[in-house]
Amino acid sequence: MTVEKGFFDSTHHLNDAGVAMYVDALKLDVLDQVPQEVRDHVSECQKCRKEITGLYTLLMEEDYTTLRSHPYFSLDKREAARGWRLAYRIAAVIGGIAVTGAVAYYLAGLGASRTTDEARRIEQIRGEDSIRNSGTPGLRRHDDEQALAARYEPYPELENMVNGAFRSGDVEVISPRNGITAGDSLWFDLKDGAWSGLIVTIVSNTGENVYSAHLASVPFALRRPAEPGLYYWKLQNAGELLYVGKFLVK
Amino acid sequence: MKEDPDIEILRQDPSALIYKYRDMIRIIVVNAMAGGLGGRERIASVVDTVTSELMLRIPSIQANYNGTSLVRTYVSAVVRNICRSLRMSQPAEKSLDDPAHEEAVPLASMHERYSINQARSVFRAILLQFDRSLPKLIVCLKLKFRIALGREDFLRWQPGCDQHILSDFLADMQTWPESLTDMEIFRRSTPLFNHLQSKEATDDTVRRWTSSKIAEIADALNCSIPGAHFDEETIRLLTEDYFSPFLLRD
Repeated sequence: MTVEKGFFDSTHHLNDAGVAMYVDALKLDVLDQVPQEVRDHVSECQKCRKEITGLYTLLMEEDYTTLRSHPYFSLDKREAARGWRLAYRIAAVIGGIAVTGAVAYYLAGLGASRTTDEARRIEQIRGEDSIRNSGTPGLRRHDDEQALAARYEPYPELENMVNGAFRSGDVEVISPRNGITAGDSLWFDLKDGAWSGLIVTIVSNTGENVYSAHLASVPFALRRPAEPGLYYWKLQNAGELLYVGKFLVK
Repeated sequence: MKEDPDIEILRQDPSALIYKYRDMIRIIVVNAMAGGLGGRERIASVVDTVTSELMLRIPSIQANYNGTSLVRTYVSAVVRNICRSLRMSQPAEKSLDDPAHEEAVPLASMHERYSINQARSVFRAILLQFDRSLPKLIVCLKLKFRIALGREDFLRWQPGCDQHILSDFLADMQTWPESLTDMEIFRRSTPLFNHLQSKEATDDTVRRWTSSKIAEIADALNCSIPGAHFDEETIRLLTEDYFSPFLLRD
């Protein structure tokens, strides 16, 4: 049943084998293993891209992620990654057990076999350690707290515009309410929205634009930013600022 | 690179393979019927017709399958071809795209199956097929849809790009008014594009190239997803979603 591994038909487009091979590569995320000749052709050929996309769509529900092997592609890298993940998990479990055991053994040993003098000395050392160490985590915690607090510092340029009156008063924002703490997602909604063409921009408290998009419809959902802090959002239309609001991510 | 176990079944007992793939065949048929192969009352008979035709093609499948894809993927391509030839030989009947359709098909409805998440997945698959042109396409899509561009976007396109020219362009881009038209945006980008491509293109060349790629992407989506009507605006949304660091993805 072995035939020549030809991927093109007589019309110089991909044949069924070529399309199937490319779809497997897409589904397995191994496009780099597709022969360069095929990749170059597909990147330039709309007809073949449509064939590939059509078959890919049909097979979208077929789960190939559990495949350990493939007749043509090497899945070694993926398998290796899977193996390392498993090894890390096992190592973490073994490590956890070992640490727990060591602590239990140490505590049991303290109570059972050490003399009062030794125990006193250990207590003394522990006390010194606790004094010596108390500074480091404390300082680190203080630094962390300062860094975190800085994330909630208002950005004056935009803070002054929050709740400000803008020339286009026809945009009434229903959500998000100013100053709310965002849940997993943040909903943007306007009343009687003449929303078409509006642009929403999320700005960090350092003035950095972290996201910008045209509103195609409202309500409009965004997953909250990953980093905690104070964020502002601007609503604009053709260069005109319509609204500035703010929200918190904790 | 072990053998796909289905290869042995294809060799020894192809009927068992077709039985094994029966759900997949049904999905492809339902998909084809939504594209105009008849009403829901005909699903069972069309599945039978396709399965019979597939049985007839077994010798050809055994001869032409060249071991570069999973058998499942290759057979899917063949089933799709059979559905196509049936569609061409029969007049279009009532579409399955009606609520009652769900009762007849024990799978999720077409609308549920082709959710926004799946559109995202197909969109990603289409972009990947542009292969070496992808870095250029990403830059152009971001320019066209006013999505923030970074130095890394250009360096992915042309790693050897002159850093001073790039820095000047990025700095200049910060001063662009939001009211710029597509024509103006691409006109201002042309000198950098010419540098990146080491050729002299006219001001409107890249804009037209971008528009044609957007049309191709929309076409590939519309051909793959039954009932879909993707256009430049929906491609804009998919693009914004694709590059958003925290848009809802589930």
